[in-house]
Amino acid sequence: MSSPTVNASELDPPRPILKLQRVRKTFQGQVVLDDLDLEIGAGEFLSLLGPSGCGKTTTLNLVAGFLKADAGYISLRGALSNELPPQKRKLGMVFQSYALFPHMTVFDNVAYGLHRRGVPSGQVSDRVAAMLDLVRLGQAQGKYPSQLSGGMQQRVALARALVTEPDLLLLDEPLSNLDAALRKDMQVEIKHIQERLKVATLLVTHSQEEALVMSDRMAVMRGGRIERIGPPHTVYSDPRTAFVCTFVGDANLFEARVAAHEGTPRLMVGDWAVLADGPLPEQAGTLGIAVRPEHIAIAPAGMASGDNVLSGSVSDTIFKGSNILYEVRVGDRDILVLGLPKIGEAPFARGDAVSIAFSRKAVILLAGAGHG
Amino acid sequence: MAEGTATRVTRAGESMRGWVLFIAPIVLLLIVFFVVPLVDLLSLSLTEHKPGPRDPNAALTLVNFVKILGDPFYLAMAGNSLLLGLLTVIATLLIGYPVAFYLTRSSGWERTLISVACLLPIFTNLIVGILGWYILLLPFGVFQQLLSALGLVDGPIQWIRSSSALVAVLTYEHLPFAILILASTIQNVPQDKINAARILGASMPRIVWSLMLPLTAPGLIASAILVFSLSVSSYLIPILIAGPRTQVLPISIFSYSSELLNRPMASTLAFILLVMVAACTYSAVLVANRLTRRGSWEMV
Ligand SMILES: Nc1ncnc2c1ncn2[C@@H]1O[C@H](COP(=O)(O)OP(=O)(O)O)[C@@H](O)[C@H]1O
Ligand SMILES: [Mg+2]
Repeated sequence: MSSPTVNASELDPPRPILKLQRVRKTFQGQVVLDDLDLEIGAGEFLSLLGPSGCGKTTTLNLVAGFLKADAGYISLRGALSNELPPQKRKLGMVFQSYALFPHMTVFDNVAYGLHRRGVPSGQVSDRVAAMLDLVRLGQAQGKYPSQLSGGMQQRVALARALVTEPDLLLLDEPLSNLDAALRKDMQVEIKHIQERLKVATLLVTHSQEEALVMSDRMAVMRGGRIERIGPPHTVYSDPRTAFVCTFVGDANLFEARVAAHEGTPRLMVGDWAVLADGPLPEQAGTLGIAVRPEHIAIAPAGMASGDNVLSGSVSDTIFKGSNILYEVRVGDRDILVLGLPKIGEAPFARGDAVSIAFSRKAVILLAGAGHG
Repeated sequence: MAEGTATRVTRAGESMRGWVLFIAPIVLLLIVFFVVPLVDLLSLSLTEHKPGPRDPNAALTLVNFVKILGDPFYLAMAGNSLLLGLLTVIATLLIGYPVAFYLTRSSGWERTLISVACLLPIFTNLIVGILGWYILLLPFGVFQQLLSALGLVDGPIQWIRSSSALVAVLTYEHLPFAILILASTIQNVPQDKINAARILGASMPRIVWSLMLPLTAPGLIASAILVFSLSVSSYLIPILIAGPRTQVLPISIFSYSSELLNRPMASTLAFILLVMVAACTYSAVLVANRLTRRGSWEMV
């Protein structure tokens, strides 16, 4: 019995499986992809994260060959592939709608790609069975897709895409049709399968959670461009732009002035001085800064300590079980603070006078002005 | 408990009555214009032909059926009609499916052009359409002259009375209906499913065979049934294109009822035509369902 493995040979030098260079796509004169650059290495899990309509599906369709790029280069396994038809790209793809063939059984759905690639029929049933075992659907071989639940259909789609042992797997919002609990399970399951088969994966999603949980690297897209790319932790802690900062996680954004103070530049938000790490621009000007809610501590009035301390009053509380989101009114600003419920202590109530504090390391400097 | 059951029964009774009211007009219409004439047709076909007014107490007899089913002439005629219907269905589907496929993938002026070309023949008077073909197909007509000018044929060719001309005109008349039905079912096949087959390595002919045909089977059956029943029961097109001596059932039915005034024979032939269409329709549905394994799966 052959177990499905991918021949991502360790001897090969790490060269990109997929490389997009200055790829452009317009629909009826409207620019949808604007000089997009992207690279995926062998075995890597890369997510494209962005709001709906930013061009994620278009990117995937270009990679799959369903659309033609107006300009730029698409290379697969080191060979220029702009004109290669989808049939010859040797990719696996899971569609948002799953796109299962409704008139074929689960077995026939999964076997379809093997037959098209001319795999001898003696091997087909073994490989299909092995793949269905991997996605825990061994019992469903003879069923039709309409007899399966959404999660099972999703796993059939995954099995169908992987059984041909592609070295690049494309996933277009694969989890968006599942309910929340199932989605969490599938995130982990897909990630495990991907690591086991060592297949390079390009995931398209608008859910930051999916991208953060599953990716080796994530690319945040906006308006047909990649605004930030890197490992999830790096993108989260150093988002660079206000858009990335608020799209990945929550953040309090401020517009700060850089003013000279006793010979060194200093950040001013309104009339309070903000202590921050990192290089400040030498010349005076404005700058966006951000502080994440979970980096701000909240305490009864006068009890907080840190590099930056502000006092205000609680204007709203949202209890979420494991944590509490406070909205604290400071001057004319509302600042979001994420607090943890403490054993034996009641959370702060609306109207309570509080102090909030954050360290200078928590201040994220953004490119350009704040508030987008 | 008992009370609850009683209320439920009354409610069910009320909703029943609502339904009856709702479908009453259509049932009435069916009875008056379909069931009654059909029963009358059948009873007429079971009486012997006698000159003069219809005898309400005539004895029931199978003599007409025996006469027709025992006569090779009529059997050949029924076979002719059947063949004509089948050939027209095949020609219509062979032309209509690619056009419908193209129609669903096109946009802009191409789409408009095909749509208008499909709709115009429906709105054109049947006689006008047939006359147009008549002019084209006549000896020394437009086709003839064109082919002669190209040096492809020499002298007149007998097109106008041929059965291929008959199939051509029947196809032309019924193609628009088939295209409209097919286009709407082809449109319903999600592009994602086609793309999934492409990325799995399926060639275009393979996609048509393994995906499009099974998924559009309902539209294929519907248009085949429509075209078949319209073609085998067409009277004007055979008589104008192929002539009054053409051996098809409708012409014979007409001549028995209007020229020979033998209503029982006309009814018998009409009844046989009806049974033929019903049997073909039913077996087409059965065969197509078996081929596409319909009934075991649903579109997802
Ligand atoms: N076939 C098309 N014709 C015209 N506009 C399109 C087409 N496909 C996508 N678009 C437009 O391109 C933009 C990006 O679409 P898409 O790539 O589907 O976004 P996403 O997947 O990120 O939500 C959208 O504004 C959409 O309206
Ligand atoms: Mg999309």
